[in-house]
Amino acid sequence: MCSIGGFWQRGATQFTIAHSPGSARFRSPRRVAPPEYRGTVSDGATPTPTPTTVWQVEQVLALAPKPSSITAAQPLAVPTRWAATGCDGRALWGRCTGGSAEPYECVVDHIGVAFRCSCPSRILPCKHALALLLLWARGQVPSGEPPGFAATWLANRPDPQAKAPAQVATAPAPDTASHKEPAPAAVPERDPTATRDDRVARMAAGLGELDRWLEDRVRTGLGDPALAQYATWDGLAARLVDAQVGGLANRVRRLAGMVGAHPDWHQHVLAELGALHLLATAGRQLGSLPPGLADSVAATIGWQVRQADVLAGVPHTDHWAVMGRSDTREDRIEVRRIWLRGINSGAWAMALSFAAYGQSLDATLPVGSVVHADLFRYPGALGLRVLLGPRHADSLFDGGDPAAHGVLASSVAEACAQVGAAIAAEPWIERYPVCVLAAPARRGTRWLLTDATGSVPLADGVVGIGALLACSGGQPLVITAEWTPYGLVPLTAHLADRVVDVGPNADPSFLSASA
Amino acid sequence: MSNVVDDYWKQMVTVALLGTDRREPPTPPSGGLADLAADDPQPSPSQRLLQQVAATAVVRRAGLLPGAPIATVAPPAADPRPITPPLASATWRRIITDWPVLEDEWVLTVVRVGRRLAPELVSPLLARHRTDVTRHARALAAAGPLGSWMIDWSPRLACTAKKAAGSPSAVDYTVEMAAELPALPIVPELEALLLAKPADAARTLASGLANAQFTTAHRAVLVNLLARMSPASLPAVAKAIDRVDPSSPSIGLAFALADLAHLRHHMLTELELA
Repeated sequence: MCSIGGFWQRGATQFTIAHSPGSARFRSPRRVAPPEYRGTVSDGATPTPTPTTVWQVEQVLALAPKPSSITAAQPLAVPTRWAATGCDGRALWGRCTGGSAEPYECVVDHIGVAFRCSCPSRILPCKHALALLLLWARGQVPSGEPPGFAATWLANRPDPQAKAPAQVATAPAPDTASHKEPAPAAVPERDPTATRDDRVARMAAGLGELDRWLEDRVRTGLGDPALAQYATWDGLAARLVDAQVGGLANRVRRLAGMVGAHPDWHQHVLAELGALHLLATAGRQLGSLPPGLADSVAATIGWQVRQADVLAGVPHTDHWAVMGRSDTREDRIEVRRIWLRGINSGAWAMALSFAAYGQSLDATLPVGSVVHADLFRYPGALGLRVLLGPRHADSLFDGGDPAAHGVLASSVAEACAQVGAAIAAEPWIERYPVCVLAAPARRGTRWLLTDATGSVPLADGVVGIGALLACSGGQPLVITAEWTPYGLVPLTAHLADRVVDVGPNADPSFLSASA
Repeated sequence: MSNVVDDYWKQMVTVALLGTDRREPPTPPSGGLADLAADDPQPSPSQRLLQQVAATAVVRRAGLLPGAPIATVAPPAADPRPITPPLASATWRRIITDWPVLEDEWVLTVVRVGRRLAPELVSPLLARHRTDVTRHARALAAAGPLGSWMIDWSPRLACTAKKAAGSPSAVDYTVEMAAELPALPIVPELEALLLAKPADAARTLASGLANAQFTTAHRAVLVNLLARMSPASLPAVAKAIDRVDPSSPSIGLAFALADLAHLRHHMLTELELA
């Protein structure tokens, strides 16, 4: 889960707990303190953890950064998912088998309350650490000697004996211990592996360079002839790829294509430069952002989340109506967005598929079908992107009006409000789905969707306007569309007896088999 | 979107065009944007501009408000004919991809049985035949008033070919005319199969494929034959060709012809009125 913010915070685990007692993300067991602290304080002496002092389940639950963490950890808290588990008076460890080829190596320092896991989760403690603690609390972790991966990490952590005086000096009375943070740990030492820290440093450097480049652009002006040269943008994009912020590199390359492409290109490019500045700034402050927002920023700038980690999350089960499809070319790949909407929940979700030259896009979710399935959401403020999990029934394809399934269309004004709320949550989004009951109409040379509450323009040059107009016959109809900063892009016309897919199609010559 | 923010945005676009080396960024209007500038002061003009651009772009997008309602377009004249079924649209797409030899018959069948084109097919069909007077006229006849209405809104759908004397127009396409399929070249030796009994036609074709009397060299004439064979013969022919020995040298051709026979039968069946 695995994003840059998590790794920054992972690297700072030891001192984050100590120096950020108010941090919502790294709550140490405040509600129910670990037994070690209570015992230590009541004796008024140096803490001497004993192997027999095991946390209670409630104490483990108190560590969870959010309720869903425990939900995700519960299925893993069974001995069959673990190998090489063990514990001693200071720590517990184990290897958790998950969706990845290699098991995740997890170590928990139950004295210093710190965690290390080789999973890419950016949430601390991760579900593996919580699951290991739950196993331990249930007495299912045997005593033993720490294996290499645990011993190495523990050896690089401050000795709990060494920090004892400080703990004692600040130790609260026993009855109040549960309301206080553990005593500060010593200055953290860098994880010897440090791979992820290196990546974080590279990303931070790349974001800094991007911001300086943006400043240069507005300093010299958008009229600078250099902006018309693709190399200006491509060079920056290449450096961003090197800095492992590939998500921003894609945005920069798209920007290159906007220069001179429209009479208002200056406005479009400037707004996008603003979005890049926003991301460059936010990307360097991930640790201080709310968790969902930090996840969104991390995903947008290019931190990859493993599918196995997404699939290990909490599923969202519903009957999902496939509302629309949109294909776009991004650099050298075709991207297909499938917009799904929960019939019971009304929630939107987006399934992505990609195809390089000669490959095919996923065609398993035809527009108009309904699939009863579990969806697993990627982390993020909006959490639109999903992976399709197990299907509970075969897809239905009745091709009818979504209202028949209880999926109601909005008015134009309501759709604008929905888009506004989404942008407020993730200001850099480039697309958001809406389902409106409106009629296509024309003002001058521009097509719009209109109803009694107002009108919104369609994007220039949308390919589906002909089919949309024919389907409507000038009358209102239910339309699924994508909001973009340049206007709505119609994706689907929902008629009484059929759905008509009018979304932009991938270039068939690019794909081996156009779906 | 308020005019104040719009004006501010335009001023920033101007400054960004010129560059902050030449012009100072504008002062933000009072409110959230000014508060942001005060709370997070930036040291250089370029940084100030970037900060304000980022914030203002978000404000403009998140504050998206609908424009005033506008008049909808006048609808086309009513067309009482039943619409082609949803699956027929998929069949048409398959025809133009795999078996374009069937397209003329598909359009003419729509007219003959008294249906009208599904709306999603009107634009692609008119656009596809805009350089062919006859086929464009057939498409217009199948589309009905919606076709002419679409051409009014999208003139690129109009026929671009010069109409020759005697060329039919859309209104000329009567049901009787639509019943006559354009001729396809068929060798005299096979012409007898056009009117043969279904079982005889099926047996002849299947045995010819099984003993390699028909090879890929005969593909074009066999395709034309199946495209004009009596519809009543198609199920039997398809069934017989399906049974051709897979070890036959002509099995590839047999597969293709069976697919054509199945598709044509399916196409004609699904367009018939219940």
